[in-house]
Amino acid sequence: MKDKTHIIIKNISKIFTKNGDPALKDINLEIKEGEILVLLGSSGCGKSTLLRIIGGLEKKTTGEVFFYDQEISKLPPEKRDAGFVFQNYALFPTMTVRENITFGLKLRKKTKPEIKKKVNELLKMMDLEEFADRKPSQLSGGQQQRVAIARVLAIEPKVLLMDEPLTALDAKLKEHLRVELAILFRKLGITTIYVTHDQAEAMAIADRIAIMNKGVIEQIDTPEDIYTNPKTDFVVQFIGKINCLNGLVVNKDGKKYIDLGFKRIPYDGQKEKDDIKVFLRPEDIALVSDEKESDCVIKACIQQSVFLGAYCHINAIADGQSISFDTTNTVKLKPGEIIKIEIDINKLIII
Amino acid sequence: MIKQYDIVGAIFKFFTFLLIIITSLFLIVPIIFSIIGSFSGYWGKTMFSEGLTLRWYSDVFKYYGHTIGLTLLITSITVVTNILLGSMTAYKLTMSKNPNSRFIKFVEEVLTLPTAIPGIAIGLALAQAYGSLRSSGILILFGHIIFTYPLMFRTITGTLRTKNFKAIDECAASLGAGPMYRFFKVIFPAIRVSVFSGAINVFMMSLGEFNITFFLYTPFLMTLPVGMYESYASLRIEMGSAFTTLFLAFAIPLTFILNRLNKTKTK
Repeated sequence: MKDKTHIIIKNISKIFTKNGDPALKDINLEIKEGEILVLLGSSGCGKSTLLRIIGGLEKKTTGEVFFYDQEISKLPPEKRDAGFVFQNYALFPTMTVRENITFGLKLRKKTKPEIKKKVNELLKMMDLEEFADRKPSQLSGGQQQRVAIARVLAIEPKVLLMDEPLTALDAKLKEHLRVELAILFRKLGITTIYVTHDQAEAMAIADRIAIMNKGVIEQIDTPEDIYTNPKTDFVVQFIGKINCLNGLVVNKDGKKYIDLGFKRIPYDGQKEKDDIKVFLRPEDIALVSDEKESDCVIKACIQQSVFLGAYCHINAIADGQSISFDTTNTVKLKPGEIIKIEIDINKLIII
Repeated sequence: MIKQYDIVGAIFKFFTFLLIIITSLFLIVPIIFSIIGSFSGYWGKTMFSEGLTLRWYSDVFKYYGHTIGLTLLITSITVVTNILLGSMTAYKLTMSKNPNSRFIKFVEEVLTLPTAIPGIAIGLALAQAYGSLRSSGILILFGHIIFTYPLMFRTITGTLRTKNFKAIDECAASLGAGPMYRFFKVIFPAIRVSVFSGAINVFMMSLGEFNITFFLYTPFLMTLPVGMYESYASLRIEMGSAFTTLFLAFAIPLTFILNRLNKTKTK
């Protein structure tokens, strides 16, 4: 990834129907050259609409899209040099794998030897050599998606736009391909915008993730920051599993604290004498021995313990707060049993 | 109980079979009469009161031979025009940015309107609006194109809406293909089976078209069905029968061949 800004999205909004809710509300975004940005959100959040506006497949209602210094909103898709990969592959049904990959190269008036060399390279890279003369209908889902990616890579686009490219594949193949894609994108260094609703896929592929909700970007950050330092209520609840603890802001000796019942923690936020929510990831809770004493160790009563093979999932009540976490402890814990858990106070998330 | 059901079933089967035979005979008998009548010297009190003759066939060619060429020309131009017109307009409308908008739906309704208007009304309207063009015969062609266009348009629109053609078109665009290249190189080859089906229907409809042509023909520019009507109405029933036989001898094998070709293409 370079420092040069490649794509700038300025105040983009999209309204599909009059009096309807906008699909996109005043989106602003900058993407660096060679960066892989993942637009992550649940269905209907506007992520695909934004991608289609960047690719010229959808008209914006307001705003501007720049590729480097050029405003490209009025250019048709074929003039944008942005390759698109679709969820349903969209392979040309009457053409063979080779012809599909050749399609964009022919339009670029490449010579026959150039085309042949490039197509053979891509067939090899995507492990498609033996399927070169097959029609798309004779390929599996995974093979079809590899053809779709090879076809778009053939034209060496400046921008790669991918709309849920792995969604139609089974879980195992998906996991395998997302690793392959992440390696490939970094090797090629193409600026990529990748749309998905799958958090694991986003984490595995992205340089940065933009979390979208109801037509707005809630947060843009690296996968690590999104997970460990979520900035909005939506992001904290959307990414990963999380425990929500109810606290109360209190004043003591001129300092503010959050009283969680079992523990008081310093607070430097805006709230005064009010209810507050504090979040905690399950992995920041550990089951400890009965002998352990510390101000971060509290007693909890087991509500449910579910054995899941490599680990047990525990639901418990601690000081009136519902907490769930996983433990590798193989001892069978029964509902009603009192246990001790240790909370990593430094990992508490306060929005 | 089971036996009683078997008897009812057998009776039902027998009656449905009988119904098929009766319906088939009802359709075929008049045609057989026409064919036999075309060889009759004089169809008076009995069919062959003056023996057998081929005179009516030579008369058909003598008086109406010119209608065969014109009919084939009009039908062929209608098919080719509607293949291009139907597929291109269907492509444009289904691939638009918002294919389900009210405007697109309205345009579709307007384009398929000719199916809801009787042929006679279209023929009359054309004769009234472009009367000066009547003598050139071009109005007959216009009438055929307008009347058969919805058939082609509907067939192709249906196909373009069922599969992910919109994504395929968008993908071709993102790879750098302009609209014309996308249509001719990507979309058209993929929908050729339904284009072919539509073309067969257009061909058969145009070949037998009478209502519109009746208001637009001239004594020198008429199609086979109009010629057939004239021969029945103003000349003799034997000659009309010969005309019908010739028309069927031409249309039935052609329909058969086209349907076979269509089946092979679908496979």
